[in-house]
Amino acid sequence: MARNRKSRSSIIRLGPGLKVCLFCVGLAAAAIGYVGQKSQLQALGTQYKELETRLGKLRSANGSRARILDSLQTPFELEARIKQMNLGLAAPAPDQTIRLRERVPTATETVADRLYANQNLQMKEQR
Amino acid sequence: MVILLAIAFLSLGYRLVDLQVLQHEELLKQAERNTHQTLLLQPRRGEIRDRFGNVLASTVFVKTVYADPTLIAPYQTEVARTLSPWLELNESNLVEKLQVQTFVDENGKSKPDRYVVLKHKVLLETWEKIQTAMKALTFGLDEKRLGAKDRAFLRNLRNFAIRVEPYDDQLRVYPNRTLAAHVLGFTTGTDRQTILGKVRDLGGVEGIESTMNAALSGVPGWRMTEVVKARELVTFRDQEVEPHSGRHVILTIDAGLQHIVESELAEVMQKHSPVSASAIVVRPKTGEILALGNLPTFDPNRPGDSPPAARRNRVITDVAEPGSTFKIVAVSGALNEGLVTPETRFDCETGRFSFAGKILRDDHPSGILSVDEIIAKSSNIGTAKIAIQMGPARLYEYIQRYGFGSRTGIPLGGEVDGLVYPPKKWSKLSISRIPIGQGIAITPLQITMAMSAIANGGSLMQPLLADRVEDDQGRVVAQYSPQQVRQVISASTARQMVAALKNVVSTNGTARRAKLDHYSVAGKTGTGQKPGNGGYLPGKYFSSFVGFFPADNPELCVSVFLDEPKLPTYYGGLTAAPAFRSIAERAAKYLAIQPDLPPAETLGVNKAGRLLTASASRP
Repeated sequence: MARNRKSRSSIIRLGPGLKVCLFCVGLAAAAIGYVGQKSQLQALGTQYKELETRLGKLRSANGSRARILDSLQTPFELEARIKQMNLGLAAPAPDQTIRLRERVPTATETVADRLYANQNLQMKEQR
Repeated sequence: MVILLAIAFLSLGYRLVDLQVLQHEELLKQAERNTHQTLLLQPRRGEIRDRFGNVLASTVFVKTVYADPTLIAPYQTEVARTLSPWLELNESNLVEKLQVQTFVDENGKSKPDRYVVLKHKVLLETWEKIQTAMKALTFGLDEKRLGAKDRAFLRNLRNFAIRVEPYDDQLRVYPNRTLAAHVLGFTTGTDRQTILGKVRDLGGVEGIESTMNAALSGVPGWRMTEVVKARELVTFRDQEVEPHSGRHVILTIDAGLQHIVESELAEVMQKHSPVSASAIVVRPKTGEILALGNLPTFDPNRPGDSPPAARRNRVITDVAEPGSTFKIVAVSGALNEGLVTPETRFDCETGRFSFAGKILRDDHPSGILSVDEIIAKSSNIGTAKIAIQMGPARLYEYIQRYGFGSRTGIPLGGEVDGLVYPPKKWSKLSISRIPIGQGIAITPLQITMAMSAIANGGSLMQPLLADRVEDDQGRVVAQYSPQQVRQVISASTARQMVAALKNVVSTNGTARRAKLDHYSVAGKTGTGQKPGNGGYLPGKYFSSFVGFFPADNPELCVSVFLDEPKLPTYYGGLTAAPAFRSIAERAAKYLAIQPDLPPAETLGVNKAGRLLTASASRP
């Protein structure tokens, strides 16, 4: 009897043992997964912060370059640069400016008329 | 032993219950206070640009640098020496600031001050350099030989002794320095308490910065997060709302033209040494202000460095008796009412006219003059006789119709109405003095807009300074279009006035020096006396010239005003008119305005590269 009980009990204990083992393995996997996830979250957070800092620095650098560009484009600076480089640049006098007048097309004029208008004019002049 | 252990466990148990249950709420709040932080995210203030998009005012984010002196002692001198060049502060003052000071808290306990502001508005790139410099500090010590405590002290000193506020501050930058300073105004930082904490705002104080403050200021955002030892735990971020940047204001001002105006004003200041000089350039057809300058001026980057007088936008805040420029009101009014024609003749009494027991004089005595000649020669007697013919009621009506006595509506703070009294308050003498610009006080902008109305066929326009408001992506949020105030005189009267005003800039007129080589000019000189001590102050004048060109199709109306030019040259025709000519010539070239006069014979080119023509070579 006692032998039978002993052998039966050893068979019965294997199942729960396996279950416990599986549970433990599952628990450990979950724990490792949790820690892994947390550490990944932490790493991503750090990375996010680093990128945010970098973006801030790039924006700041962009801003400082924009400031330099703004100051280089000021009338004072441009005038000073022209003087410094001795380019002799000056605005043209009104009578130095040649103005081209665009011919105003009439309402009945076709595209061909417009395209050949100059050619017709030249032909008329030649005649 | 068992009893002792039981007591110990019970004590610990009680403490546990005390901390976790009884004091739970209070300790939770304290823990949250220590770690939870709400950061207000500053919106970038919008830019102010000129009509071509050139930046006139922009914003950079800056930091407030502070020190924890408890982490620095006894190395104040070394730290001050390191920081001094970057913060641009005196080394000895810094050493003093870095000394540990104590204060008494609300519980009456004495505590060391661990927050000492060293400098506001430090650029981010400067802050990075400060960090690098602090980390490189060695104090001449060999750290390997130091104990763990000393090494920790040095580590804390380098990393945590000098820090910046977590929130950003803003610095307004005006890259053109003094250019258009009176238009732009300036800003100041003000602390504002919000439900999320204290926020430092940039608020406009004067100029466009003030009037368009609502558009330029953005909406702040916030971030709720957890911080441990000044380091943010990003994973514990809770709420995050991005700030909305302010809108950009695009002005009608042309920076190039503004520079021309200001450089010519500087010449005038040097030549005539007036108390102040002002000039305005307006497009008469739309009322757009292309340039507006005053000297003395100020740098909006450092407004505190200049006296308040230099910050005053004199063209809208100061009033003066205009003198002869005001004659356009009476003459155009009489022409518009059909009381006179340009050919109507008046006896100018050879320079002495007795009215209401007082003598009115002309600087250049004349006999009989037509209305056109009265304007050209700027006859006081002739103008007074025209006004007498009009009567006080009609003269007052035209004064009001031209906008005198009320604000023009320019979007700048501090504009005044001027002093215009109704006829019931006039004396018997007033009808002969007001039409010649005496006994009345107006702003330079009012007379400029009145002259622009004549140039614009009699239509008075509201001065336009802001063209549009744009968002960050360049989308137009608001567009301001030209607004007509009223039709002051008819178009035909305006044409008659233009013809009369052209004579002013002729060889017989008072403003020969305002004549341009390639453009017909119409305008009027003014030399007002300055009142004071119950009369007029001797030797103190307000000289001006207001004109437009090309006279028959005006592109620009330019006005120049000199307050108390140095004697003996004080007439508007001798001081302001030449300045008008210089500004108009450069502006015409800059804007490539089409000439309306035939080209003069070219004689050559002078050293400055200017064409010498028959008309330009005259003295």
